[in-house]
Amino acid sequence: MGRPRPPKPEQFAADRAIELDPYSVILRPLVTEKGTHLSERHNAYTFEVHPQAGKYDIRNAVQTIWNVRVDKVRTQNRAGKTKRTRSGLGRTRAWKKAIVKLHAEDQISFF
Amino acid sequence: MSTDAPVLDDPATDEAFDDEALGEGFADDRRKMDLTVEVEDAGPCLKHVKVTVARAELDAALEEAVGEYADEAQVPGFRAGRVPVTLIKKRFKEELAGQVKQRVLIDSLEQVSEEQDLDPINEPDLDVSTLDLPDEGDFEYEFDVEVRPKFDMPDLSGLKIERPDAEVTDAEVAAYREEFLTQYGRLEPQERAAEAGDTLKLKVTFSHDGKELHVVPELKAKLKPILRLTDAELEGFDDLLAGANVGDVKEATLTVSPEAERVELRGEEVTGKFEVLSIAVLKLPTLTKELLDRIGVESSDELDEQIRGSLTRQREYRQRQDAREQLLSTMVESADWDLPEKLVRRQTENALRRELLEMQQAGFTTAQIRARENELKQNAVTSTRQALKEHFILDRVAEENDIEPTPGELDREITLMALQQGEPVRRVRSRLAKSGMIENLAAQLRERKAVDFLLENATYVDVPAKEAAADRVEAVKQSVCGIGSVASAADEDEDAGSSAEEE
Repeated sequence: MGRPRPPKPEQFAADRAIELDPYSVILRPLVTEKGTHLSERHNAYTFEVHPQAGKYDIRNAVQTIWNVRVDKVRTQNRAGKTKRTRSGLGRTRAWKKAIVKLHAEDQISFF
Repeated sequence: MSTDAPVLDDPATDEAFDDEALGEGFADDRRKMDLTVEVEDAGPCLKHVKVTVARAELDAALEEAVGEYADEAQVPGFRAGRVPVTLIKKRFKEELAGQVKQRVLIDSLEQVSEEQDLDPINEPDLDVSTLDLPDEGDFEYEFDVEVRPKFDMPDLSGLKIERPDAEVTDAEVAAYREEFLTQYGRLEPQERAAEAGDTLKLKVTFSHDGKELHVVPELKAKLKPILRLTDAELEGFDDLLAGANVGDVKEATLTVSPEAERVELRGEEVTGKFEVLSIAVLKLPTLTKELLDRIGVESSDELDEQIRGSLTRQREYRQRQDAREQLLSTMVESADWDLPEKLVRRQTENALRRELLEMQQAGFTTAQIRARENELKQNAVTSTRQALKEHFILDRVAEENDIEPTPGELDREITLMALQQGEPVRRVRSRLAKSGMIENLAAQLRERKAVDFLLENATYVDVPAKEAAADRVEAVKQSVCGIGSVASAADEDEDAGSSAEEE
């Protein structure tokens, strides 16, 4: 017997305690030099997404909001940074980043 | 003449300066904008201008502005100069629109002023804040602008100017010497009735509607045909008091001048009671060596020579003034063209405001000021129109003949002002520069030079000089209304001097 198969994305989403609508999944597009470069060269767009959102949620959300076809979703959990403040050490919040590659014929315009 | 510098804030001037700095030919290379300009007459010296700027011009200006932003814009997530143009256009939309609007307006106004030959005298009546650039289509804006009046120059080349004879006759010298020597004369009291030419000491009481206005306890006046007070004149002064003895009281009616300081009394009739206190005759001194020394001359011939010189200078000064007045009135007489109404109104308001402010400072009540305001308004409009016409004609004369004040002349004028005011030249210059009056001074000099130029080229017709009427008038520093009647220190000294001589 091999490894147990991971749950299907639909199943994974259904098991989650909270329900996320597309606008809660995509928090904001990341308009940066690197993001612009990715969009221009690789037709891939970067977003800050809900930390609980999975790749399947992100794919669905992008497809629903911008009406485009998503080829691939990559995600990164960005750990918060330690910051020294006057009252001691603090920490910035952790966040989740998604890089969404679109179908070659589709595009998103953030600005 | 007031020259409220009707100067157009002409961007072309600055541009021309820049062009010089950048090298010749730059101005010619400047791209012409695609403009549609419609100019209509909107009143006397008023043009209504409608400018349509093509969409392509707006887009070009936007691209230029975006290019400038792209190099420097600080956007989080991007290094400077790496921000995508589309993002700049979106993020700095308002700033870019403002910049494009400004650029398009300045460039198009400059081009309009160059191409249309409007010759404006002030800034266009254009409220930039109300203009909005359209997202699509051409950009249209309209404005009214006052332009320099177009008029045919009166033919001033063969201008004939009457020049009163400047030659001083022996009789005039003698008369002046007599007048001059009166200050060294001696008053001899007389026990007879007063005659014309006598010097009378009078107690004068002025009243209006039975109410006493002002009492002059002691007024010393020579019996001449006209007694001139600071705010009224009495004709037949000699007839009134001739034959009067000490103690006699004579009454006369005087009309208060419209320029009097007491507003409510202007034009009113006032009764003057003249009580004769003493009668005296002024005996002129004989020209002794002592007196000549006191005057500062060696002989009576030298005194006559000095008097002749002084009279000649006075005549020449009067000739110049006379010529100037004749010239200006000839110019204005033939000037039946219209003036820019707004400019007239503005200038008049300035003059009026200045006068009313002076009245306020002098402590007049609001009612008094209001009473005077209408009268002032009428006078101000007429005099402003005349002054403006003079200005425009002289400006044209200066322009046509390339008359400009040199920096040296301007410096001399400022030095002269400093000397008159007893202030350092540098301080006067910096004050003038700070208040922007240097331009006005230059404009005044330019006009003066234009007048001199016209006078140089005029034909003079010698006419006999008018007889001086001064001898008919006895002027005293007293007023009917009682304002400004305080004798100056000089008068007091003079009085003290003559009374000492009397004793």
